[in-house]
Formats: sequence, structure tokens, C-alpha cells
Amino acid sequence: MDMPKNAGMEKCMDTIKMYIENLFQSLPKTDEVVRAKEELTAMMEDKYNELKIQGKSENEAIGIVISEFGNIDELKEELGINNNSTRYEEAETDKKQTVRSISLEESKEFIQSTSKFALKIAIAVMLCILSVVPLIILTGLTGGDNSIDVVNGVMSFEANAVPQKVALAIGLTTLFIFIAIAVAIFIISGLQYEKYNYIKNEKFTLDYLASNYVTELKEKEATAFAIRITLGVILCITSVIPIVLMGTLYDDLSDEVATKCVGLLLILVAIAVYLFITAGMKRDSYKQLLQEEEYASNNKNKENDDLAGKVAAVYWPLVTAVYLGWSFITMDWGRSWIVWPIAGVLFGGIAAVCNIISPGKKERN
Amino acid sequence: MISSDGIRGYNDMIILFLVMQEASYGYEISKQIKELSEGKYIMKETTLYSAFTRLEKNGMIESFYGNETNGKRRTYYRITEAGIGYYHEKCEEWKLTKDVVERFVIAK
Repeated sequence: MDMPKNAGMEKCMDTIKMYIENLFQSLPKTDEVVRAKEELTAMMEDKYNELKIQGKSENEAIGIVISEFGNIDELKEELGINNNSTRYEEAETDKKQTVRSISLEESKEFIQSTSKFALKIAIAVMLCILSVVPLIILTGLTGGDNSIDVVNGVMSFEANAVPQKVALAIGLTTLFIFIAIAVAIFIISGLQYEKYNYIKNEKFTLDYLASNYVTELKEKEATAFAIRITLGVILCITSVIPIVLMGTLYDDLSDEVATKCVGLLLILVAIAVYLFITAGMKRDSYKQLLQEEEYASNNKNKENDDLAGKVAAVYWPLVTAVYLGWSFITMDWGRSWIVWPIAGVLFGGIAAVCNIISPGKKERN
Repeated sequence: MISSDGIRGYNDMIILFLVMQEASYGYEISKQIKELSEGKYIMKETTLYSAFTRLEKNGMIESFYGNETNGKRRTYYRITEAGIGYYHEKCEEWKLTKDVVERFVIAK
């Protein structure tokens, strides 16, 4: 029973030791200073242990120990280290001080805001995906049992099927309403979230409490994150089952059934996307705070070399134009929607190519 | 919250009081200060250590190592004769200070 407790305490002792190391970094290594360092570490560790015995959590205990520690300047005076001789170090720390330090409170706020933002974006994206579903299903219901006869350009109606004009009207209206709401959400929440742009664009450091907190949180939620992503992927895979099943079981698939399967596919994909976005953004917020991987500090001074973004700015309006043009000219809304999934996947490939091209540019710097 | 300026002159005396009762070590002294002041004064670690160093340099206390069971050496402090004398001086000083300042305090 002693082992796990000690393992936990080791980690916290390390935090305390690191804290003291850092404070003492700029001081000359005289005997007095070394002794001071040892004593202060011992005092902090004793205090930490007592707080743990009193029932405080690790984070609380470390927080209290650090906040009641005091100011290293007092010590400097007492140890006879005068500040004039360390002018060089001060110039160094001045440079460091222009880097913003982010506190525990700010970190918590950022994480919460990101979760809320992710939720809104996920819902808006779901709305975009689901926006075509009513249109597809309704146009499927108009065809009755016969598929569209392309050669003769004829659609035959069953008496009780939904009239084509009504289907189009309702389908298109819901499509544009969904898209309008989604865009509104993108714009409004995007504006609200702008104030956190500094986390992606500027250099900063996290203070000790914040750093501990975020690292722990990231580790704790790693499993939950993996589960969400896995669920999302499973949903994506199972989403094709209805249409594939129907296709293999029935040679002559009616429009009605086919469109319902496609509708189902889109709904499942929408849910999967919701999971991807919420889980992904949350994990990203931790990575951004900890400045890991793609958010590492040394990447931030680069100019925005986002080739993929620039290509996207050209690509998507073009795709939209193609979609609208094709649909209005042929009035074949029931089929032209296929432009979107194709364009989406194609863009995935284009973006990958862009990322291969642009990092090459960065490396030359 | 006590202003550190106000109590600065008496940090040494507070520590002397405690080690006068019984020789003790860093954290234990910090804990006793918090307990005796009923939480109204928490002396920071750096302040405490600075005071130990100062008092020891001036011969008011002396340090020795105690034997700990887990192998870590702990620094204990005990009061000296000079320390006891200094302590009583500070007590007198405080009584005088208190007397003077009270004259300028508006009684409720």
C-alpha cells in the first residue's frame, strides 16, 4: 500500500524541486545558496506532506505550498547577493518577461470556452450535413417505384407519392434554412472565440499550477477521447451498411429506398462528425496550452504559410458555383448533391498535397 | 491581512519565542506560527529562512542536525543566551511601540 502513495508523492516532489531549481537558476552556486536551496526544499516538502495528511488533493497541496512560498528577493538580500552583478541575467529575464504568462484561471477559462465553441461548431457542421437530407429523402419519395429513366428523361409518378414541386420546395427551403442557421452559428461563435487567437498565434508560458492542471487533465481524458473517436469511426463505417445491403439484396433499387438509405448515411455521418469535432477540439485546446506538437512555440513566428487555406479560398466557391450551375440547369437536385461529398474528399487530397509543398518552404528558412 | 511591513520588525522575535520553548525545525516553526496566530499570520518560507540565517549569523540561535528515521537530515534550531536577551529587548520595544501607536488610534 506504500508504493502507490510514494509514486504520487515522487511526482509532486519533482514539481516542487523544479520550482525551486527555476527560482535559484540565476543565483551563484555558493555554499550558502546551496544550503538555502536544501532547507527551503525540505520545508516545502514537509508542508506538502502535512497538507496531504490533512486530506488535501495533490494539486491543492502544491498550490498552497507554492503560493505561501514567498519572494526570492528577500533571500538574495540575506545571502548578500546584490542585484547589480546580475544585470546580464536581468536583461535575460526581461526578455522572458515580455512573454505572456498564463495562469490557472485563464487556462480553465480557455478550456471551457473551447468546449462550448466546439459544441456550437459541431452542431453547425451537423446542420450543414443534415441540410440536404430532407431534400434527398423527399425527392426520393416523389419517384414512386420507378427509378428515373435517364434515356427518356421521364419520371413516372405513383398516385400517392409526394408531388415533385412540393418535394423540391420543402427540401430546398429546409436546406437553405439549415445552412443559414449554421452560417450564423459559425460567424457568431467565431467572433466570440476570437479573443483566444493569441493562444495560437503568440508565444506564452504557462505558470506551474496551470501546466500541472492541463497535463493531468489531458492524461485523464485520453481514454475518453479515444472512445469518442472510435465511436465516430464506427458510425462512419456502419453508415454505409444500409445502402450497401439494399444494393446487394435488391437488383432494382427504388429511389425511395435508396434515398432513405442515403439519408440515414448522412445522419450517421453527421453524428460521427459531431463526435470528431467535440473530442478533437477539446484535445487540441490542451495541446495548444501546453504548446505541444503542431502548436510548438517555435512554429509561431512563421508567417502564415497556409497554402491549403489559400487553395480552399479558391476551391470552395468554385465547387459551389459548379453545384448551383449544374442543379439549376438540369434541375437535377436529386443527383447534383453528389458534388459535395466528392468535392470534400477531393479537397482532403488537395490539402494533403499542399502540406507537402508548404513545409518545404518553411524548412528552407 | 497583516502587512509584511508592519510585522517585519517582529519576525525574528516570533521565531525566538518558539525556539525558546523547544528546539524545532523549519516547517514545524512555520506551522506553530500559523496555529498560534489562529491563521491570521502565515510567514512565508523565504521570510522564515531569511530570518533563520540572520539570527544564526548574529548568534541568536544555533543549528544542529537531528536524526530522522527516513534518512533525511533535518536542520534544527535552538535558542542561545544572546537570543534570549534579544527576545526580551524586542518584547519591551513592542510594548513601547504599542503604547505610542495606540495614542493615535481612534477608539471606536
